[in-house]
Amino acid sequence: MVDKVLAEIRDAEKKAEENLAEALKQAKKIEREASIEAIRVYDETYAEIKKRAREKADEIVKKAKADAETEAQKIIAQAEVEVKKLRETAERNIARAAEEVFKEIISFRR
Amino acid sequence: MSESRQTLIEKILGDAKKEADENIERSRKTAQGVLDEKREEARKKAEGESESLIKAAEDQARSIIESSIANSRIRMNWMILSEKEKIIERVFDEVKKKLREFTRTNEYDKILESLIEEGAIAADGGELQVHLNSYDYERSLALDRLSDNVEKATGVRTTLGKATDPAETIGGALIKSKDGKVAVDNTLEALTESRRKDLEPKISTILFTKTD
Repeated sequence: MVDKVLAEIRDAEKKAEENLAEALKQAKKIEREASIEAIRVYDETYAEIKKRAREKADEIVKKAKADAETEAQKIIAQAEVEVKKLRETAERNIARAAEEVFKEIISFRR
Repeated sequence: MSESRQTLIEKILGDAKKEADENIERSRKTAQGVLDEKREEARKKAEGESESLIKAAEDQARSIIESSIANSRIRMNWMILSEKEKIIERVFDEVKKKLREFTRTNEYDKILESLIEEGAIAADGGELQVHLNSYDYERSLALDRLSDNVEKATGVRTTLGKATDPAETIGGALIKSKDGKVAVDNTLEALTESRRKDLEPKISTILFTKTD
């Protein structure tokens, strides 16, 4: 009777050891898989943040190009206005300027 | 006896299960910790690099805008300058017209003689050919008197003669020594060109100063 009891207890202990061993195996597997997963998580996280940054950088440059074009157009439009004003002012004075130059030349002395 | 045996067996198995569960849970936590740590490491590295990337983009953006504005201002100045040059050129075209008309007046005779005399003096006298346009060639010019004046001024015996080949000019004269070594351009075009640099600021003031 005692032998039977001891045998049952030994069986239970054996089973318990097996369960523990299986649990350890499983735990190692979890950690091993986690190290592989960690590489993927690292790469994905890094790539995602860098992708967003590149998109933001591209957007900044794109906007700058558009702003630059707008500024350039404003300046050229301003230049066209200046040129028009210049032409109008000059037009009224061409005859007078030519007369002055003419007088200077015919009253020449080198 | 049977009851306490059963309890003991259950305890052995229960404890083992508990330890096994704890082992697995610990591993899960370790695994999660590794993942969190790697994610954080990646985030820090990527964010650091991203900051540099954004800063570089901002610098590039500033440079794009500044360079565009600078180029546009250069273009603007060039447009204005180019327009001014065109208008000044029109003034000189107008001056040429006036000079051409002037060469048909009596007042011009005196100017032409002065131009010949000055040219001959500049050529240092001697035997000189006076090249005129075909219209002026027909004028009667006091070349003997002018020769005397040149001789007096230079101390060199001087003879001025009309060259048979005409000069392509509005007016004035091209004075050349007989051997062609000395040439003095006293045409109205040359006179105008020689004064051009001095006259341009004056012309600009007249042209581009608002009078109204």
